Amino acid sequence: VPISLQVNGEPHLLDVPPTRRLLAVLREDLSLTGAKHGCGEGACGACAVLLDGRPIASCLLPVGAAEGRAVTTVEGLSDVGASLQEAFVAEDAEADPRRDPRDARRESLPLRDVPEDRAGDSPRLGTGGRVTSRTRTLQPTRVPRASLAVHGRRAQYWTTGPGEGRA
Amino acid sequence: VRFVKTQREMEGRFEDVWVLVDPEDQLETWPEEAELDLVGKPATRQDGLLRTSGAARFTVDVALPGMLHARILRAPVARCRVRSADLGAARSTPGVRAVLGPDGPFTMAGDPVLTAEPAWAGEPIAAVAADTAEAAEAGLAALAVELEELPPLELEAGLNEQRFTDEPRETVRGDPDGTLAAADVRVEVECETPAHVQTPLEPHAAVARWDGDGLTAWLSTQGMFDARRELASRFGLPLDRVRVISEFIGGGFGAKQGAGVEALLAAELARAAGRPVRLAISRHEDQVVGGRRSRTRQTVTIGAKRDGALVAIELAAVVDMGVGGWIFPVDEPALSLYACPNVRTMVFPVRTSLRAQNAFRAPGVVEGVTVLEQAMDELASALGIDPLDLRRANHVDRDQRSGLPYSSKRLLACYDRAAELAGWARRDALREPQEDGLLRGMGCATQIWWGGGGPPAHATVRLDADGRALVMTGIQDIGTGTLTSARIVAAEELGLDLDRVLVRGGDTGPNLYSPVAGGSMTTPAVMPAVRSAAAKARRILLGLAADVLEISADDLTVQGGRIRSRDGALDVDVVEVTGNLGNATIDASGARGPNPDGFRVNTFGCQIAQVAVDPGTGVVRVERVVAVHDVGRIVNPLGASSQAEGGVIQGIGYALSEELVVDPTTGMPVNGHLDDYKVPTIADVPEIVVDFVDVPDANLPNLGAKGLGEPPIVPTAAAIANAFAHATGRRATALPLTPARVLEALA
Repeated sequence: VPISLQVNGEPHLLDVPPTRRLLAVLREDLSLTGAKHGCGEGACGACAVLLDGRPIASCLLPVGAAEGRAVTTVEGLSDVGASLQEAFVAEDAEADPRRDPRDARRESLPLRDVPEDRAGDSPRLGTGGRVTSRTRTLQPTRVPRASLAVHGRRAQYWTTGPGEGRA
Repeated sequence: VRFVKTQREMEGRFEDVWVLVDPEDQLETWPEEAELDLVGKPATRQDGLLRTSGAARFTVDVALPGMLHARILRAPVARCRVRSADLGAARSTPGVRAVLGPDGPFTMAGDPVLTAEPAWAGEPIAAVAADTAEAAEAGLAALAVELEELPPLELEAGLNEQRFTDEPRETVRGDPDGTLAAADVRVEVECETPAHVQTPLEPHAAVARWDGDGLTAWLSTQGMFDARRELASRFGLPLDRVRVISEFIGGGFGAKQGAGVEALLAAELARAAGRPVRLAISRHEDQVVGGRRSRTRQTVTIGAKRDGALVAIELAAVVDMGVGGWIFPVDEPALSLYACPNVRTMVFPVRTSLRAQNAFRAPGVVEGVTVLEQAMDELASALGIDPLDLRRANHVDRDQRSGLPYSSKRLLACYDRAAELAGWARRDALREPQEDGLLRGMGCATQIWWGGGGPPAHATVRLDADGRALVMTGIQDIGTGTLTSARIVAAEELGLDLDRVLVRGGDTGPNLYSPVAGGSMTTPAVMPAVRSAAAKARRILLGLAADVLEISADDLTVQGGRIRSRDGALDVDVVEVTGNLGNATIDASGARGPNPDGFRVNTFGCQIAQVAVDPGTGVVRVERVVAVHDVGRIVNPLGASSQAEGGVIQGIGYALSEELVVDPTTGMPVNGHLDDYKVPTIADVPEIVVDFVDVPDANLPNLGAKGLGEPPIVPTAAAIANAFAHATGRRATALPLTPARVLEALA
């Protein structure tokens, strides 16, 4: 069953699987490449489009879920958002979602509010504990170390055992 | 016109090159007091509306008729051996058009591009091109690769076993051991810095198309001329049969040098299939194999007199190199940042099972400054000296490695201005108890980097009958706005308004050579060539005007698109003159001349960060960063401040949240996604106050401008770490300052 979709004010009937991601439909099937595949998991904002006026991550949305709804891409803003786009140029904050992921957030502002869920974004450790553990090898004792040519001595310098660190 | 042998610097590495020198290209720099119409005034991007409207086509947006989509099979554990791979099954998968396997002859410079014995996390094993991306993935699955897993090489063991990628590097100046032992005061700081992934928002991508015996490649690269040379070499083509197009590039930060594996594989698959091929790797692939600033473990020891004068510095740096790569100048700051007669630096490049480390915005110097500047603050604290005063007291006006003077250095002005903008004098008041329960502090750090640019670089300018100028350069604008800077410089020299000048770049087909967009190189290398070409075109224009208007060319000026006589009697639009050209064109080319002998060309700066630490949760917030840099003349203050902000934000990530973590059992990065590899989001971005000394370097010809790509990231993490120590009285032994590390440090 074809999927009907309105994109930037134009109706489309698309013969694609409903599970195909909206971003792929826009970029590959409709050649609207303004939305980018930044991460593919809704984290970066480079794929943001408006769905019935609300910002969503098009890399996550199956196109079937957009059936009968209105999609606006950055190309579509040329009609309604020209002044907005000019303002971004004036501030050198243009939709250059690719310059820097930091800017992607900035760029996506007109399409999505500063996300509340990110406002308290704190760096997450993940499994970083392993790397964070104090490095016992980095506790050089003041042994003589005349020449780097002597590999054994270099090892001695760098590999004092656990618990042998200086005070 | 003659050939001259000169020294060219790239990220601190010097090489001799022969360059063509046309005396006509050698212009004096505009004097500091010169009144310029456009240079030094903010200008928006030439291609801004293309970017905001979605019309800009990046490599991943290129779609060609009949184009295939490629996917790469990568090592799922860092080290393994391929026991079997069913290439036949992959080839007979519906939609698959070409398969390259691990045992094929496909090599680059003698090294296999695909391997049956992967030695690093994500090393390519096989590649498939198919009608759709889904079919390509099915083809990879059909390979049914069987692997024998091997244990990864790890940093600790590598250190113990002396498993280095190269000879460790030791540099000694003076008598560091004796002077350190005898110093009035000694401080030592140990710190681990994280593996920091460039994370350009456009992952590596290539589109390749063969046209008869020639190859056209659309590449997301920082170095399209390097890519052209590599592709020509690999496929046995003359240079003029390879065309590389890199018109819009979604960031690089050092990760996108030359052709890269993607371009080689796309071109080989396209040749095998007889169809164009797009190879755009995924975010996850890019985070794992795109590259990184390597993890380091550094110990810095400083000896000083009671008055703060440094007597000795010792640095020992262990670098997690992956399987190889260039050893970054981690030792440069210890050797150059401050006046110090006695220095020992040691860099130990340990081989592990990650990809070879590659450049990331100010490679090495970021890592070195991050630890050295923490030691300087510890010294200031031990001596009871203001940290900025300690830095001022150890200022040096020449490069201590070569003995040469700096071409210009206005670092002291950066300290003063940054202190003023940050409210440095009141910094200790921040530490008084706060109503919100947060611990606040302020810290500073110094920036050093190269960025003098150099030859070769070429540009052409043409003026047509409609009075408009077309500037052709080999610039690949990776998002920094260098095309716009070229527009400003050309328009200034031509005496035209900005909107009558268009700059083209991003294509090796029609354009002359410009260097890689790296090493803070593009502005200082290319803009002088642009100005020289524009100056020649202007002279030709005024010669034509003299003939048309029957007046001596010496009596004419061109400014703001008007040609005027000095006595004011004549005042006409340039079109009155160029209109006589018909289909003829005024065209001129310019080449970048050498930098002057007898100097080192460096950039300098100071950043001051204010942080707030939540002692309950361990969350550190950067509240404000002041960034003041001396990069000579500023061409476009608007673009320059954006560049500085981007560097600061990237530095905040390095200090607080970005860290590629590797699973020791497989050697694979575990956080290769944007939801777990944490780049700062907009909510993390503090107020950033940017200022520049903005005085042309009088010893640099033509423009007096240096590069700004790398300097802004250099001191940020150190300033934040020092602000954290000021706020809490503690110093974490590893970055980034994640809540867990902060709580550990505060415990």
